[in-house]
Amino acid sequence: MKPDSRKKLEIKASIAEPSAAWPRRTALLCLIGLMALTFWGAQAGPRNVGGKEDVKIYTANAYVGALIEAPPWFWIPAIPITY
Amino acid sequence: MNLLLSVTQVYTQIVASDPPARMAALAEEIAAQRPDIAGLEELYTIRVAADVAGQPGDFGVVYDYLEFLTNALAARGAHYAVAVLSTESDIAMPMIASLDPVRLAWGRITDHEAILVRADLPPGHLQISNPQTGRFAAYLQVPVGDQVIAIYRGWCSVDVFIRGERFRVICAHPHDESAPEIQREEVLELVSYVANVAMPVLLIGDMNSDPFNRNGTDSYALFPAAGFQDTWVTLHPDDLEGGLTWGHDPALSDPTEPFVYRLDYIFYRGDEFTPTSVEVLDPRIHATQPPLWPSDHKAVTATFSLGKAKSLMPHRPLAR
Repeated sequence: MKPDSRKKLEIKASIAEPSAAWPRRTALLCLIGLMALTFWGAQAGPRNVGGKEDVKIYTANAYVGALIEAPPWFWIPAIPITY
Repeated sequence: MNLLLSVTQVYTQIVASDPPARMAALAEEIAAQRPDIAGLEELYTIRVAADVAGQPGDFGVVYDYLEFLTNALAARGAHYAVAVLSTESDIAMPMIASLDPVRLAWGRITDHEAILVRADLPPGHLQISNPQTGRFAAYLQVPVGDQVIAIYRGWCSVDVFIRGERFRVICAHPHDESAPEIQREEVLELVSYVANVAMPVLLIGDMNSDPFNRNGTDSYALFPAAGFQDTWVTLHPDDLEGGLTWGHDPALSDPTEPFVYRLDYIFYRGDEFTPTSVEVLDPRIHATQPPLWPSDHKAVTATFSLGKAKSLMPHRPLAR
């Protein structure tokens, strides 16, 4: 290896080596990012794998259990039905 | 005497229908489906009172369908909260408590509609606001003796914020085919109310009108005319006459009785909704004696893919 190459490697190594302040900044940014994601996640709710959000809806008539809408007395001629 | 016999017969049928077992079966179905939002119609409260000199004494609750349902849901680990509850008809009538000696009692039936929402999602995932209820101005009047019984129907609604979208869910229950003119007036009232709602809308419930007029009503056409799309029609264009949701026999006892009408719907209005599935459900109660099903109707469930959130911040209500 030529001396110039060795020098270049040393320079690269010094760039890659983090300074003392770097981990703290990274940690702070990560924390802020995590908080933002948590907030947005809480607002948006869980998402499905398709990238869109689903909502499931259900409807049922619980049924009273008898024909009260048209009970027998409706059919008694003496009692007329009016609207 | 006819009235006494009729009311007694209705009450006897209600008791025979075993409301606690039916609500437990409904809860079983909801727990299996785990919908985010559920609209329930005909959640009755049944009360009975002794007859005191021709008037009802203090009414005691015999059956509270909503309580049966929510308790049965919780027992199955399906936690739902009642987001809104409407009260519609509330009728008390005399009936025969015993024949020997002849003794009268009073039966009272109170009709409710409700919207239930999942209560087990992390905080903020499902936000509910602006609960509203309404009775339709049109109602059925039935003269009985010297009084007129008013039979009301209505709706309830809530605004929902879930997964980045805000929309209104309305659960409605107009009159059935025995009063088609009243039903039409009620549906007209409903769609004119919804016309003033600025946000996307899911309109669900037992609308009591078949799309092909098979039950003699023509109110169904008012929903598409008001801008609503029918989930069944969107996802089953080759089976428009299918998806029938009614009806079992009144005693819920006859497996040979065919389904003949489609009355229960999940309508949607707004580009935010893309339906991805719709199912008609009719779970069988595991019993040898009636009731064999929880209801004379089948239930309907649908899943929608929601559009992208316009804002990830909490929205201010767009309600009128």
